[in-house]
Amino acid sequence: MEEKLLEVKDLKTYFHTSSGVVKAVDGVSFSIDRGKTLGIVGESGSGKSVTASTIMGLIPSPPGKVEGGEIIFEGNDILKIHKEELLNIRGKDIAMIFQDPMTALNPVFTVGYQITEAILAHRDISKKDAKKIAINALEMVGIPDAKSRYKCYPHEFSGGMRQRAVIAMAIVCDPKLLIADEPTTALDVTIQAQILDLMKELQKKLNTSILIITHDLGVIWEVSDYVMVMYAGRTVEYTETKTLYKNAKHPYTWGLLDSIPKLESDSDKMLNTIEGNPPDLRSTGKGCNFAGRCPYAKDICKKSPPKLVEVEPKHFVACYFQTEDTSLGKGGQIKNE
Amino acid sequence: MSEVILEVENLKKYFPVTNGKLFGRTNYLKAVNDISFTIEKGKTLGLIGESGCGKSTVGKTIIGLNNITDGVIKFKGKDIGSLNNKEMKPLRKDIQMIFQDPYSSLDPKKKIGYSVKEPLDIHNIGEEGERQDKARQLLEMVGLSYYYMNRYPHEFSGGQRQRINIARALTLDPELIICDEPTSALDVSIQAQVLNIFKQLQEKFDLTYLFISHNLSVVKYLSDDIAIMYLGKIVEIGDVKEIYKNPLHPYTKALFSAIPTEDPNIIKDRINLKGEIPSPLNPPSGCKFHNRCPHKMKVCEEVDPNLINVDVNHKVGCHLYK
Amino acid sequence: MRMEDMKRHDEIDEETLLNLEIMKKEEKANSFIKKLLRNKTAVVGMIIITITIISAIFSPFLSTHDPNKVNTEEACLKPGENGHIFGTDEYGRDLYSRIVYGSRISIIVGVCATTLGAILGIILGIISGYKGGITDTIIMRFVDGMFAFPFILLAIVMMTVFGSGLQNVVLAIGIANIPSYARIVRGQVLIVKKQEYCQALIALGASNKKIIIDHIFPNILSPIIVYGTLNIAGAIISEAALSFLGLGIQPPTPSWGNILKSGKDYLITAPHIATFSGLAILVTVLGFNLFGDGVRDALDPKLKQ
Repeated sequence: MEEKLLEVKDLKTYFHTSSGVVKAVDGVSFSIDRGKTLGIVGESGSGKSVTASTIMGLIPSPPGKVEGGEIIFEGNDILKIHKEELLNIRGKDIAMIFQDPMTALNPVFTVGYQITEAILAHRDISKKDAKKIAINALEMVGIPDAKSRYKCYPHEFSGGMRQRAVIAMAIVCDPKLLIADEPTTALDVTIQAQILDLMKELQKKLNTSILIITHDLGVIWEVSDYVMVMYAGRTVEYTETKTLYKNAKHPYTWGLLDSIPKLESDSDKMLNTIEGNPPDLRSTGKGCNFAGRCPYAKDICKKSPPKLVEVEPKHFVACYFQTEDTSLGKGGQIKNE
Repeated sequence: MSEVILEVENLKKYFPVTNGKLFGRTNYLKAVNDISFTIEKGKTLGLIGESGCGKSTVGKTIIGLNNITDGVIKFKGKDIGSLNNKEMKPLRKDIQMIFQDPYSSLDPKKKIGYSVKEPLDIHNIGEEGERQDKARQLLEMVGLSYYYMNRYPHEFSGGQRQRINIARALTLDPELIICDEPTSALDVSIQAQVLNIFKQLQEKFDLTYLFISHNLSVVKYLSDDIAIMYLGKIVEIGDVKEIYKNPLHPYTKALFSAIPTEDPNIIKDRINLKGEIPSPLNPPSGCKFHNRCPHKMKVCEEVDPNLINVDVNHKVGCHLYK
Repeated sequence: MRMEDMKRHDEIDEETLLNLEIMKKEEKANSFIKKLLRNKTAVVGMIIITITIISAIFSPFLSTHDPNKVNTEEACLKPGENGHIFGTDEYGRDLYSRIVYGSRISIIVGVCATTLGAILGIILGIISGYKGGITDTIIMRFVDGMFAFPFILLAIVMMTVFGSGLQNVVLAIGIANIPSYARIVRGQVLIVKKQEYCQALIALGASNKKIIIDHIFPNILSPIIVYGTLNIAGAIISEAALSFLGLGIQPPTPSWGNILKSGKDYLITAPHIATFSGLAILVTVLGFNLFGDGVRDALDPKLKQ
């Protein structure tokens, strides 16, 4: 069995606002093995970014608060360990790549300076050595002429280059886990392809685990080994990527897979859509959060939330139809072979 | 052959850019540099390109938000570029635009019922009661209860707002709608709903779309023809199925191969382009794509290729095809 | 009509009803007044402002003596002596009554000067931001020139040319405020003009008048209201400063500035004169500032830094 690097168990992060408690993350469970990639996919408001921020300890408090669950990193629950130890883990062992490369870099310092600072914050080495490592990292992420680029300011880089620099900054401390929050959303497709290839290549070289958060299933198919589908703050399905593609079990996943227009398919047909809108996160939690939009919803779906159950090896689903009543058939609804 | 509704000939749009000094030299940003295309009634032309290629400028120039630097835009045979504001006003009814950002495209201080009926106010059509009725019907048509008429935009989700925008664009019964990335800010499940609305409305009202997007799958779903833009020029244009099956221009090929796979079991053979898009302020000589092109020849550095017919409805601008 | 095939659904579905209810609830919770009342410092500011306004309107009823009645026998009485709550000034006039009447000047100058500056500044700012080009350049350079012109010098010139008096004080302070409004408004107009809804209106062929009045103005109002509220405090200080220098309201008309001025000469023998007039200015200005901050937080949480 592979070694688990990170395990998240029933995580709950709520935001206490003046108009009610927003259950941004309300029961999320998954794990990442060493050297593997887990993709979290979900629509805006599904809590995927909050999940990442909670792991990184970036939840502003107040109003945010972790209400329950465990985040076990290398055997320790990082929600319980001491703050100073935490600083050592976050940034060094767990690094993050943000969506917008422009705001992830400070515009008033050179790119090289920022990378060097990141190294010096976690390692006890001389400035000269740090600079060497930084230039090395810039070369590794494919920035041509890294030595002279070291002295450039972020605005002198193009969008793709900036994201490469951000990745360089994230890998300089040899993190064990890299969290990438929509790393290619702000980029054009040809640049996105370059960055995704770069991430795959780096993973092979450094044997890092990657947690990639995206709304784009295409990105998931490209890079991840496992995938977790989130809806309204909860894990609805969690399995191997190929299994999800072939044999998805949750009605929401079906809808998600079907609502993407395909290049291959016939464009004369209407797209299959999920009717309605995602629920208000202040009023979720009573039943299955998807019940309001689910074409198969029964009474029980609205009364109590379904548990995440392993219905097949390494295939977890939170849906009554797959766990208690199998009348829906296993994968009978899937349109793509 | 059906009626051609929009005809764009050799359209150029340059933006003057000063270098910041008081009497500095003015440079020109050639956002749109000599493009031509036509759209037939009831059809959709998809305009694809990466950011900065000038695709949005094309839409804004057609609708009259930009002055034309050079070239001709004919709407139903009339040259709209040469009309003044007064002559243009009746034509504005027939061309509408749907913008990208559902959050900034509705006035936050106006109720949505007002926003939807406002085009009728501006063009002074009908009585107040009729205007209200029409707004109500339009909202229902895009799937929003008219009970929402008196609510403000901030109370709606992105998808709902984009529905409101579609309703507003339909208020004046237009013939041509320019859609500038209307679904790129939406989630996939919502995007699918909105795309279906586009398709249904087109069938119902025989609408013509110019659909601008960077998302190839979305464009393919809606379009009859597509045009691929790179640095202000169209590099390939033609029937969508034909281009998809048989892309000719090296940029089109690279663009298609860069799209993430639709099946995790199929690992795509990818053409990786070198470098990034050059600045439109300082484009390369000759073919604009030559510095990234895997098939570069000597002639590419010197001569900018013209679009040539390779099939009945398939043109490509590349020296590889003669 | 083209959409006659549309059916009219007159029954309302459950989800819509629920959503409408949530919307209404939220609207109530997030209304401007509710937000303002939740903010304690804003409420304190509001109370101070209310007291000042009441004393300005009802000065004759609230005052205990005639503010201008000279009584040399009672000069410089200490607070509380002989029925004078705040004591008397160097001419034996009742200080409390003078301060109550002084609030009239402060409120009038504060509100009128701010309104004047705001109206002219908004007009200049809208023209400048909306028209752009050479018009924008001319107006903005003119505004820059006004910014560079010292306010006190402007006031001295105006008072010398037109003579001092309430009207001219309002005029001087109002004009001095124009440039800041013009700047704020121009910036806001530039932002709003670029929004897609304005672009859509231009593409629809809407007239400039309609775009400005119906769409741009309501959307730039919040920052103007916020700045205006804070600006009233500034105008009150400016009036006090002008009167203190002898350029503003002329004695014997009581104004907090000229009471402070006369109090300055008796700082040792009768400190209460300067103290009470100074406190009146301080508290009122503080009130407007607190209220202004509250208005800002309630109107536009994004402006909070």
